[in-house]
Amino acid sequence: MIEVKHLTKRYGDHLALDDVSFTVEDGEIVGFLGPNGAGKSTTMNIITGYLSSTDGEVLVDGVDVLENPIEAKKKIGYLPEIPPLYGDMTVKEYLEFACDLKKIPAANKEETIEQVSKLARVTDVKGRLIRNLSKGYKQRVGLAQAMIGNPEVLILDEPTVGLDPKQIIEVRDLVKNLSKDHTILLSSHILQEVQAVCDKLVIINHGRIVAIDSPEELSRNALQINKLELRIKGPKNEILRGISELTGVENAELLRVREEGTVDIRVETDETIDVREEIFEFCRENDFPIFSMKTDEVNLEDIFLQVTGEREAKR
Amino acid sequence: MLAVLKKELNTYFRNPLGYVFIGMMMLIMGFYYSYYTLYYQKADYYYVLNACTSLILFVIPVLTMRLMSEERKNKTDQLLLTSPISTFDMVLGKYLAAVVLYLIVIVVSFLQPLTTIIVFKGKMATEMLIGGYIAFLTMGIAFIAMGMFISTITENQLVAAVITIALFSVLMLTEGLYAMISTSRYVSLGCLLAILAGVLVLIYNSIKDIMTTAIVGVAGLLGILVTFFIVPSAFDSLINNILKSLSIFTRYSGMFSGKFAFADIIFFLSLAAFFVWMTYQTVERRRWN
Repeated sequence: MIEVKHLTKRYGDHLALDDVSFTVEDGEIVGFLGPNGAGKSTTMNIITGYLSSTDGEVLVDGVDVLENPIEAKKKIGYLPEIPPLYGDMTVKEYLEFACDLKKIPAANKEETIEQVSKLARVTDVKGRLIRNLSKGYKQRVGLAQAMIGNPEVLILDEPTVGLDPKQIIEVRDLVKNLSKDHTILLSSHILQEVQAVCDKLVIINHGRIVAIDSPEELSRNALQINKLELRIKGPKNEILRGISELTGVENAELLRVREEGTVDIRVETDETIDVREEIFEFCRENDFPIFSMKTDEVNLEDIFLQVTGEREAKR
Repeated sequence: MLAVLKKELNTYFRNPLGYVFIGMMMLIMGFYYSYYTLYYQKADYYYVLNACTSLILFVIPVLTMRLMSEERKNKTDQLLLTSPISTFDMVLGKYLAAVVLYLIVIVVSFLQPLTTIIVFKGKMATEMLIGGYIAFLTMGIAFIAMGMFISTITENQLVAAVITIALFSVLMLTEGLYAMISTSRYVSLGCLLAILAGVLVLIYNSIKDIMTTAIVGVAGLLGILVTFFIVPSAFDSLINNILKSLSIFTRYSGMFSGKFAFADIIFFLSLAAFFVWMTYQTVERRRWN
């Protein structure tokens, strides 16, 4: 369990973190979401004891990171934004060194390395120099390092940056697997990435927490059913006129023509009204086949705008 | 601590650096050995130790330049500082690794006086040989600590090397300075006041509190002036003595006399301890900025 209480970090006059508080319960995966420079890495560096805070405290399983750093650090596995790798070591040498640092008894070292390499899928590159590995492998070696000693808490700073889509899915599955007996804090600046695996999202911007909620709740709030994109087969003018006459539709415009005989249109409606069924009925009656219909992609910016907007409205 | 020590030693021999250091040291010592013992037929080995000192100062940065700077540049310090080892253990491990390499050189170099004694049947004062080696060792570990400290304040190992060499050169050049400064008590007074001013600037810069700085300033000024008017003789050649007691090479050469130079050993060991501690403080302090 990680408890972050009223964390403030000041670099000279610059306020990097402003009264950040949240908790990660045992066995939970929490996504730490925010644009670059929002303070994600700073927070993680404070939790892991790499930096110290100007104010506030961090408890890892009840142990204060500042007061009892060694005890706290024993409970944490950390993968920083840039994996801390020594290019002139082989993967095996590196993992051995990490074992030494984490005080794994010599008798268990071999087994531990075997185990984490299997989990992070680096077994086949164990004998190679880290310098010569691809970015994806480097990331995974960093991940293997974080898992050494089976720490209760894993802190992963953008673990999927630089990976290809297949590797991203692998890492996602790995994180899901690990969550069975680990508490995980995972950062990202891409919503989709954390949405799939996290129980809870903490959204941070300009060093302040803007929202803490479950991903379902957040994306429901941000679901943009009032903005639709459709591809319909049929005459352009008739379709546009028909749709803009439906109740609730504020605007219907032609986007482009991609396929012969079809039109791509964009429909904006009143926020409270869902017109998707009406559109379907209209097209069915007129015999215009719908090729595709989708709501605008929910993205981090929308959620930001939404949660920050709500805040401002409350004031 | 052992984990870091082991890793650093491995790194020395994974890179050319370890070999370069040992090779250059052996080359310098070998050169002076042939010069004094074989060519000039002097059996006493301390000539060799004494002669190669100034050159060795240019080799020690090879040992220390990347010790701390490289970790910061590659962000691998994040691994070390978030692992369950204390920062001091980390610094100490790194320091000892460099010292071990230096010890290797010392042990290997011991073959040279041994050759003189066994092969050439040369006679030398054993006390002077031991004294020479103690001086060589203690001065070396003090310089290694300084080099490591400088490696901490930059992220670039070349910059670290250049600053280290510059510092060692300045130390060497200012060596004779105490003999050149006037022994007049007024010069000492002036120097003390200048030092006080420097200390005050440092205090003000770090705490930004004019009151405290003023109190320290007034107290220091009164202390100096009162002492000056009560026992003016204490100020005679005061600065010269301070400089002399701080001069590294004077102590170093002095240790070759064969007398067990306890004060000098303590001086070098405290110098080493001071810079190891400064390195630790610098690493710790960085977390707070």
